[in-house]
Amino acid sequence: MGEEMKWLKLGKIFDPTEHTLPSRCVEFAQSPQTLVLKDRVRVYFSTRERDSVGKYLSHVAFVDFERDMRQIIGVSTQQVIELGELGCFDEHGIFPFNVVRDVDRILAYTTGWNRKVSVSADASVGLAVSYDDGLTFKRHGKGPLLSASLKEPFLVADAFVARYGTRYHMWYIFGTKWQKFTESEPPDRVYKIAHATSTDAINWQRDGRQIISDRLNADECQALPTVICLNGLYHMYFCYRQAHGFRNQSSNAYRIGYAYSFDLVDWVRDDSLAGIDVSEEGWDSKMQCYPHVFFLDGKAYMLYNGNEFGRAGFGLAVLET
Amino acid sequence: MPFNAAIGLAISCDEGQSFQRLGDGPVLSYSPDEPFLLGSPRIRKFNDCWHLWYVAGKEWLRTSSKPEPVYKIRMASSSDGINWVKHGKDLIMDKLSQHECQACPDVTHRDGKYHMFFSYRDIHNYKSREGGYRIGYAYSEDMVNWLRNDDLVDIGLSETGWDSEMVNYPHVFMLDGETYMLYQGNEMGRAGFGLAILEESAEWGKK
Repeated sequence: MGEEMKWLKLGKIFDPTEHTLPSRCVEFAQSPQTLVLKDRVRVYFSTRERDSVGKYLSHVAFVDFERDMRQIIGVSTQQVIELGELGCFDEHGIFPFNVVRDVDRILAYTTGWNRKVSVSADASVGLAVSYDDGLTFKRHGKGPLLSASLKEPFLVADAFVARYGTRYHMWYIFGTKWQKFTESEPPDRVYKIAHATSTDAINWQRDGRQIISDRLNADECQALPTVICLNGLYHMYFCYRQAHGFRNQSSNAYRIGYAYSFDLVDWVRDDSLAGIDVSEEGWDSKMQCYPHVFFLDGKAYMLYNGNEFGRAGFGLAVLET
Repeated sequence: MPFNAAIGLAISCDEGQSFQRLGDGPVLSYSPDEPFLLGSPRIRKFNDCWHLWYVAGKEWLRTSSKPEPVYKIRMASSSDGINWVKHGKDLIMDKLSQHECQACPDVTHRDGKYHMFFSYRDIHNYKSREGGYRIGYAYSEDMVNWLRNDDLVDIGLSETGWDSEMVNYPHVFMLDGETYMLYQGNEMGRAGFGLAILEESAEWGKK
């Protein structure tokens, strides 16, 4: 180990303001995640509608690319999945949306958001299923698949599922605390990456601990873990940031982190091996976040968001060989 | 949604004077068919196994005034009191309507059967004498299949006073050879709770 994997940036490939999206969504294309189909690559993302009181609701949409990832075929024209019913965990938004092919159906691991009072929101992981090749999804129950538990009190989110061997693996995050860093500002959240396994993709056994060590400090926020297996090693990319002052100060904002593992049990963190960083200027110069790695026609690619958490779209990078 | 609830676990090492949480999060939380409002936990140990009876929300109904939740009685089991397997079914048949709200499942074992005292009401008009909580009863041979028969419990409203509009949240216990029931009265126990003693000693569950 110690060989850096370098990513070659291919630029921003999607801007949500250049398309008409369903559900009156106008900006944001967050956490792009792929479903590779025979004749196209479907990239799901979360975009935003403003509700009657001016707050955001995150909706899932998709954009189809030709398999060369250059030409856009089209965007979703109908709702991919409805928001949760009154009182449910995903009433106020779904973001992100991770899809996995499972024989003759597509599973989607959703993160559902619900607004709260003392803190801004909470989240849980849900499951939805598509029988039409990923055009539309129906929920597996009104409630979440993975919700708060004894050691994971809130913000259970960002599920990424892959099958290795006979087991399904889920990497996700859980909240550890809410804290007021200043008198005048609302509380900030802290969350860490965790891991769970399953034999049926529905019932999960959580490891029950943080699996990626902190680098910044004990309040480091880790999100959107994504994992691939390459050259006999498991590689995880994720994003991390400071707990406070991360929206406006670039030095505190999201960057891409990296860890590797031989056995999917122990992970060694080494961000210097991430092989990708913010650009000098442009759409991904102030922050880099919500990475998603996938294989396409023998190459490894990374989709990710830039400034303002992906308000203006997402970009692509390819792993240099 | 105005409120939510989940079930936590706390431990006392001083005979119940003070309790410390086992974790910041809940020990039982939402799942695909239990989307919100988990509450009324009552834990029992039968045959070396822990059983938790509780209540799970099914839906929030939009009414002419504010949204109202509907919730039903359910059960989960555990060998260690910490890791729970939900049974996954509503245990008590509805009597009033499909929107009947059931609460506070209080189970005892006696005369070879399991006996559950609980509270129930409809979603409309439940702050009044007409529609307020009543105490219900069901029995079971196996903890899983329950036969409801509210007439057998025979504890109704008083003519006047603190328990004249509603009776709810019963807790049945044995003390020095007698069987008692603690319960709340009007305004959901705003003014306190009361006691009743079982008069008949005949076998429970038979009429």
